[in-house]
Amino acid sequence: MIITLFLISFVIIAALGIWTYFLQKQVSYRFFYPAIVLFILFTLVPIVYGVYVSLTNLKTGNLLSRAEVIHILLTDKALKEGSEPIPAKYFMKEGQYFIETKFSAAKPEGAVQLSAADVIAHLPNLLDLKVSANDGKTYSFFRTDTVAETFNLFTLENEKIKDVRNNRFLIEDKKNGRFLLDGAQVGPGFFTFKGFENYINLFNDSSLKKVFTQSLVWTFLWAFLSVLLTFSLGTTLAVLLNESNKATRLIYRIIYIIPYSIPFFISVLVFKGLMNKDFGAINAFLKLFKISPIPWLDHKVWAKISVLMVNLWLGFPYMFLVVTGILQSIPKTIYEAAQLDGATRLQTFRFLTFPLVITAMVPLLIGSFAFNLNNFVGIYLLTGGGPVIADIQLPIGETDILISYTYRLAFEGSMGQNFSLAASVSVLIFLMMAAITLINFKISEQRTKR
Amino acid sequence: MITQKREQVYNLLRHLFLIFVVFVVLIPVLCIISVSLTPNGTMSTFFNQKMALDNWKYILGIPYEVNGAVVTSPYPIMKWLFNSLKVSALASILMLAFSTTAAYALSRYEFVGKKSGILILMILQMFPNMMAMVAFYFMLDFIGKYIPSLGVNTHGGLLLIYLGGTPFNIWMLKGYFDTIPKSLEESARIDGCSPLQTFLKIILPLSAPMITVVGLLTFIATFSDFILPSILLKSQENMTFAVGIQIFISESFAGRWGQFAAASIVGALPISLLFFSVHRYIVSGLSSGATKG
Repeated sequence: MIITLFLISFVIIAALGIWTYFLQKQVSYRFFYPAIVLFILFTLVPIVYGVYVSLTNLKTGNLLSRAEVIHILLTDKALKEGSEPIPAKYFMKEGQYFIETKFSAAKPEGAVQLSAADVIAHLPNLLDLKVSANDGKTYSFFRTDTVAETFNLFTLENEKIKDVRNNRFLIEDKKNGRFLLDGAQVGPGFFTFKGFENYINLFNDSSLKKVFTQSLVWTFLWAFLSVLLTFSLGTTLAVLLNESNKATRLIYRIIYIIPYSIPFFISVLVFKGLMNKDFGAINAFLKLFKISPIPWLDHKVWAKISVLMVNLWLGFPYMFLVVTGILQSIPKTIYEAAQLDGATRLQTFRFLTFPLVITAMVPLLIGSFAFNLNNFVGIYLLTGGGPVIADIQLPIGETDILISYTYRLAFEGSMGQNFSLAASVSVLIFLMMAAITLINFKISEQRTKR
Repeated sequence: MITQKREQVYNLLRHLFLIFVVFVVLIPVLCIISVSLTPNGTMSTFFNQKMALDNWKYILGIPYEVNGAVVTSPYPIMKWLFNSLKVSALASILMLAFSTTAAYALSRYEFVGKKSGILILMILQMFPNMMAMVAFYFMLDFIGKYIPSLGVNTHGGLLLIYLGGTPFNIWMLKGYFDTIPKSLEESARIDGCSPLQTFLKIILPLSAPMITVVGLLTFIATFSDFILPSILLKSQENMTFAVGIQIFISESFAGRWGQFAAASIVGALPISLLFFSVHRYIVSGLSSGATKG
């Protein structure tokens, strides 16, 4: 499916290219074209694919297409009754394949023997080879190192698949994507179009709904608290530091930038080590004060606190830098006037500094909120989603935000990978982010109009 | 009325708080340095055991001695670092090439879909990349059959995917281009410059600050990215740094914190240095967006 999308987009891109560079005069489109090509291929196509997958039931047990499953069934071979497999070696020379058994002719000079892995790689070519034995039987491919008398288990008759052994037709279970014989599944499953079933399940199925709601609530709480904490610390530092002289400010600023300058995946992993309950430095330090080791990453409340603390460490420099920039652009005369009127520091901050900073920061705060909603690295690298919630069957943890839960659904399910469900959660996340961004844009537009 | 004494107390408290935060910031950094210097260090050692450069030698690929036997690291860690730097640098340059052209078009010309176009592009860019991973893998697999250097396990393929993220940079550059007066281009046009020449000779040099910011942000973002490369890059020779050092913290290597620490510092250094040299531009770039004149 993805290849089809890809080819379609190639055609569109080629057509656009011809139009842009040959059929019309405006130069502007020519400047715009390269970026559009890349965008279509690597942003648009995956989105379309993602939406498509969310409408199917692509998951472990249903990973193949219907055509592939039919092909597997039709090439499935079984041993004829009473027949014994005989050893065989497979050779290849210049695109031609040969089998060597005790019956067959010697292979040509220079033919290379295929190892077991090679046999599997060249399988489609080997399936049709036959060896005629001097006992009248015909042998063909059976395993990577044998041939045997085999027969196809299934054949195609009138567009239905027939089981050759008992002459019965397989029933196709279109709803679940599999073929049935007497109610039991035959062969691998295939993915089918399910429409909005995944989305409906997210809102209706009781265990899924509980999981989804819980992680949704925590996701928003996490994003909100992260912004609140980093903004508070950043602003406090910026305001406190504002009164010092230039040299002091520079020294402090260089130190405060350090968390921001270290690639965050390194910092998060470092904290993961430091917060290790048994070997980490933090607990070792606490031991000096006779405090028993705190399960920073394993306990449902501490894990949440830990991720927030780490995110604070990682995020406050950004807020600090931006607020510093804003403070520098506030004219000093305002402060002098306030001081003449006898305002205390607290009053100056509350009525002068803070409102000015907030109005300037609103777009960035919303942007930071949106960023943290999807902050996969911050959660996943530190706790992997956190201690697993005990009483639920599905793989979700205490600190899982929607996006880390999606990742685990898709790539880590110990009970199988459920790409279609992961895709539907992705689409929902996207809709939320899109809504937030639009609101952000509207607010910025309003402000520039003023 | 603010007395001298009150003033002094306030200043003292202020500095205490600031220094407290300095400690909180620096302690993890110091921990890492100390762990990297301790052979067989776990994350709880703190400058209290014998220090040696063993871990550093391991990371840098220099053979060293352990109990009399010579040990070299089987992992090409320096190569990983080089790979990361190379991919990030190329990504920055190419990203700039594509973003500046598109931003110029959006800034200077009127055409269909201009107003809402960039907004839609930016919103679409936000789609969570999880499902995209699967799509990317298949797409690059397909391309790789026809153009081997852009296939799955290559840097070229990785770059292609990074370049899909132009919209945000286009938006930032467009904002900057909008502030360059059109009269400059008009006089160039009268002198006989083609649109391309105007773009290259006038607009680009004037946009140096913004180009620096965009280039840097792209560099930092691609250097730190590990999800995409871990799915696409399979052979050890090709891995970027972010992917490679994941090996040191996987389950089978539990306890190799010393080497991980040294690797972390080596990996953090280029970005930190880069960041320190240009943080002023980033601050002004970010806050100018916030204050809007």
